[in-house]
Amino acid sequence: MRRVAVVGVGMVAFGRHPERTLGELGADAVTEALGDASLGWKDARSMFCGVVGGGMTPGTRVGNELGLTGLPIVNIDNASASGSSAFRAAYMDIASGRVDVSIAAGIGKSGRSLGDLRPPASHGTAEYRANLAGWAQGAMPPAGVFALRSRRRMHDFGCTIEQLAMVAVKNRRHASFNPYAQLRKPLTVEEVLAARMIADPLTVPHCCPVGDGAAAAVLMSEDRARALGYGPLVTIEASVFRTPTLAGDTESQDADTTRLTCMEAYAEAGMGPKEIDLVQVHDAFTVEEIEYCESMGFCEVGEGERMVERGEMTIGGKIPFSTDGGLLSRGHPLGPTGLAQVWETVLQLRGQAGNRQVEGARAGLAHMVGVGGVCVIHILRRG
Amino acid sequence: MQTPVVEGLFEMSGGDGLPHLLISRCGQCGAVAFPARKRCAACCGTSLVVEEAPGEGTVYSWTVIRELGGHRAEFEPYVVAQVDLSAGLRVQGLVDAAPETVAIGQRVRTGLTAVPNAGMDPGVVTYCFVPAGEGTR
Ligand SMILES: [Zn+2]
Repeated sequence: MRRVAVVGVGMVAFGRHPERTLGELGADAVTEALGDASLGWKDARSMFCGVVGGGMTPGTRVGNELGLTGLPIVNIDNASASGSSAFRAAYMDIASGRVDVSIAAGIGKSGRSLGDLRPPASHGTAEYRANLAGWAQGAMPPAGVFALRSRRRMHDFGCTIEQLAMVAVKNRRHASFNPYAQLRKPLTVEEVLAARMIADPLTVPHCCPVGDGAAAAVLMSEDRARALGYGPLVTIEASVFRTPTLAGDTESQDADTTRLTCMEAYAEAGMGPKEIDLVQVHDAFTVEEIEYCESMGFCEVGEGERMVERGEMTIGGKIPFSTDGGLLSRGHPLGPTGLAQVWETVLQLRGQAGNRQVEGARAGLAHMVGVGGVCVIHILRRG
Repeated sequence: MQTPVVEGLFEMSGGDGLPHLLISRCGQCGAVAFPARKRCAACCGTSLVVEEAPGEGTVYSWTVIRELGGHRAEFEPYVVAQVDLSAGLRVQGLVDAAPETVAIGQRVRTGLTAVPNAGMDPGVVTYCFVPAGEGTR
């Protein structure tokens, strides 16, 4: 396997873009990433596009916008982890020795909202039966699933709703320094508690917004990148993908899968949590950041909420999490989210993150989990 | 006349008017699952038998769903809980009780309820949980 570097990143601000198609959004992000790498679309030898839904071959439409160069384009749907999965696929295409330059893109437009479980009209089909079975067991939107986890955590570890709210407040503050974030207006714990209840005990700010956006990264073999004189160079030290097993020892399958994936990633990178300077995490709901902080080995199980309360996961703290605002405030258009994490990690490691810069950052971890049971972790390092 | 919303989740044939949840038990490793599976998630074995789950358990966690995409108007909030029926068997279901009466650790048993917000005939029912010791609605 060859070593791989990230030589360009680009983003379209997350939020609302009703006037632009998925293909146009993706083309803008890819063009920005290529510009960041001082490359052109013709230099790319393959592209992998993370997208959830979006009709047939949405990533291929990104390519059509940019020009018909004949390169292979693969569409990847892995729920929240689609963009991270596309990044891994581009990494593999270069690490294997097949190509020297590959693009990972992610695109997303909010359509039918998450958790819309209305039974479809066609009675008697397998899909209709599956939907009825969902209703029969108490139809659960994503917020409901994490409401159950939040309440149980409050029972098991004495976590308070204020401590959970602090995750939303912290990530909103980080987002206020990120012009590409969807929600940037500062937030207080009192405002989180007083907001509209979605699934007890979770109010709206405990849940990430799902909007429109795109993000992209240009990957290159490290040898070629060094020969071309890129610097400061950011390299990929670990790329690990897992689905769940039943071997978990906590009460959360996502946390268990995260722990196993992270252990593999640390081994692959020859690093441990002490060598990681910042983390981008799948904080679709506040309780997740606390759980995964523990799964990644930054503290003991049951300590995560105290890490947040002590400010240790804030920029300037011991191990900053979600430095760009996270899913909770930078936003989560599904397809591009994992690549927004790469964008943020690369800017941080290059020292280009402006007034949200983590001083002296040398290694960053990016983590996504997705519905159905996928977990993808990458560790990037400033070479 | 009450009709189960979907086949295969529970049976009402016990003569006591109560639903009996149908679980699978793996003939190789003993793992139990609800809803019943055809292949074992723990050992990938294929010799699974379907049996009835215990009718009583303990609330592991619970919530009240107040919004669901596409349902914000005239939406009827509903209580959902995860209930531990036996070792390794955690089941999710509706709770037919006021939210302020539900708590982690509470003993509950199975009952029947209408399916909220699905626009179904009131005679179409699903299993639910009610505080143990109360009559069925
Ligand atoms: Zn088995």
